[in-house]
Amino acid sequence: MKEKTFVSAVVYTYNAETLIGDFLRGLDNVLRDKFELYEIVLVNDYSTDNTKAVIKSLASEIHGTLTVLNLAWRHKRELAMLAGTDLAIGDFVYEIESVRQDYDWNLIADLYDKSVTGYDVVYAYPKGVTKAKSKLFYNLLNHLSHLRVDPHTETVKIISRKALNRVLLERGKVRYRKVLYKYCGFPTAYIEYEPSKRIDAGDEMSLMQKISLASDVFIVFSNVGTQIAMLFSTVSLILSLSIGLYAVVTFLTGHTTISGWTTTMLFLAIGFSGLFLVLTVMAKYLSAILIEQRHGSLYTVQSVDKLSNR
Amino acid sequence: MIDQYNTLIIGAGIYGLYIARELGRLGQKVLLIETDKEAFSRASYINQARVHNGYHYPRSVSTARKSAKYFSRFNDEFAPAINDQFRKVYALSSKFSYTNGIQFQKFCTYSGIKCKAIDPSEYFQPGMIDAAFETEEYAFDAFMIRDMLLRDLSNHDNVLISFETHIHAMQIEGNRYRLTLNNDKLLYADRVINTTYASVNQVLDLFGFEKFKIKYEICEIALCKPNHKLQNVGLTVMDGPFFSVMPFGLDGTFSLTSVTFTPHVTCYDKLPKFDCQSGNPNCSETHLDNCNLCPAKPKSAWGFMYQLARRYLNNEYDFEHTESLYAIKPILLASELDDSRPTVIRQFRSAPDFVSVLSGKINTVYDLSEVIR
Repeated sequence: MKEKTFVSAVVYTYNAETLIGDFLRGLDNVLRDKFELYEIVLVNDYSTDNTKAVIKSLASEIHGTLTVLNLAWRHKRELAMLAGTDLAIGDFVYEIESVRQDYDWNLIADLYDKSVTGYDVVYAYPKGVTKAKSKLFYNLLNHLSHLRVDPHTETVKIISRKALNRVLLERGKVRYRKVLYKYCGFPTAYIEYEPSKRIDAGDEMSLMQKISLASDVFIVFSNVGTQIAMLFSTVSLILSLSIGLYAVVTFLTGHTTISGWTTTMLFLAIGFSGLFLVLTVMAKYLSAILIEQRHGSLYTVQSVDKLSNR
Repeated sequence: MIDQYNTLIIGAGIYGLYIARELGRLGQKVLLIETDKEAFSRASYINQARVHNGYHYPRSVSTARKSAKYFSRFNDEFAPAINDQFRKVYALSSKFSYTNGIQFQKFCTYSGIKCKAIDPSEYFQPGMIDAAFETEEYAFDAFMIRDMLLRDLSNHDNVLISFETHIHAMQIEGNRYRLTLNNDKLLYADRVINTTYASVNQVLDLFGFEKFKIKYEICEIALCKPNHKLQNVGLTVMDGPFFSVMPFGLDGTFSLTSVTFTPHVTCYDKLPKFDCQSGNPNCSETHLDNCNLCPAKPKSAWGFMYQLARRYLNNEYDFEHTESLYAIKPILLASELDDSRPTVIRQFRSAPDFVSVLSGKINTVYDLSEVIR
């Protein structure tokens, strides 16, 4: 008995001419066995090899509906997947990050089965391949924000329409789905699987790009940036003020050593105090603007349970 | 004695019947042949039943203007067959649309058609729609139009309709065609007008003319029953891979169509060749059978179309599937880019005359005035 739910599978692909064929056939088969109605949305992120032609030649072998979303230039994974999920119409949507497959096809069915037991987002990640760098990043992020993001690098996830809609309505331009899904506040579960092979995911970002994304995530999803700025300008403000005070005291007690020292020190102290005061105020404004900009809703509710014995 | 006609018309769709009636009024001796058992058995019936007022073509002002020009004329002439008792809403999807709300409004102003902004949240889920407009567009009842035309035709003894008939062979003898029909009947005609739609190239091929550059799509029009909330509304989401749910005629039935799921199979050959033809001995590259009655017709894509509509519509607007109609639609390849739907009237030769008419819209039937002489 096939599931009646309509599911979409959004697949990211970039220069994968050798893998795409087997992958699509496999995915099509597993979805066909499990679901009555499904669609595959393949996001082709401006592949420069033969990916597009290979996909076209596959069309007759695919039983389900296959939509290919060709991006006009390289958008990278986050935005490409956003476009794909925007187009998907399913009640549940699979997000498949890569056509490099290191899991058994049953995992796709398992994710759905897990999800219908009450989880709006279910991730699957391979056992033991989490990098120390990602661990450090997520530990830090979790520490600095109210998020509790799992440090594993997931390969496939399934999201309910309810959760997806909330994430898609998020207006922010800095998109990091892993965090956004965490942020949507719905129940989440994980499936850990034994990878069938070690695959080198092939870093698609340079170190600089990673640092840039990481700092964006920190700034958007925690207030660490403005907090540091605030703290630093406040400390500097106090420092400048006390130097000014010191200059006045030495002048009054007649301990001036070099002529003109007092005036110079006073000027510096007043100037810097003013500057740091302005910076403190601006940091405060920036964080306020950031908060105003970010969320459609000021709070994120997971569920409203009415408990009553009546 | 071989029968002689001034004009032989091929195809008893709206174009064929309309020309027959006009020529009948002029006193010409006309034979109208139709391969199916009844008039309006294919595309004249199996379509969105929309009286186009131009809204559908936001990237082709010329098509829009022409539709708008004929809109009131068509509604006046076929008034009893027109359903204008519903609120027609056009909405622009906020994602993947080629046109946004502001551009659509501008386009309507250029084309001189009504377009009043309304609140999208009345019908659509949050975030899905850029802008929604109340417009002036109606639906027609194809069978009522058919009956009106047939009634008019019955007053003209000089016009004859022959069903289950098609041309087997043709010869030119002097200034006229000598035609052999499938029932071995022979006749002469001074002029042939080809008003077939999906079979247009097959007829041109038979007469030895250059074929149109078209692609063919087997299309499904899903009929459905709206719930009471939807009853008096027609909703069309533009301008890209979206859908339309609106009244289909006058009896309360609605049609659901979608840009991605309505076409099932596409053929890019000059003559229509489909895999499903192996499942029907009466259908081939040279003669198309009626898809709607075909045992090998495609499996309905209702589930997909419905899912797409659900993604957009508020839950209170609902509808259920009743049946699906299938027909082949030819699309001129030149009009792919701007999505225009021109009416092509081409005279292929004179004495004897051969004219072919190809149009994707019912209410541009008035373009035919130049053929009717």
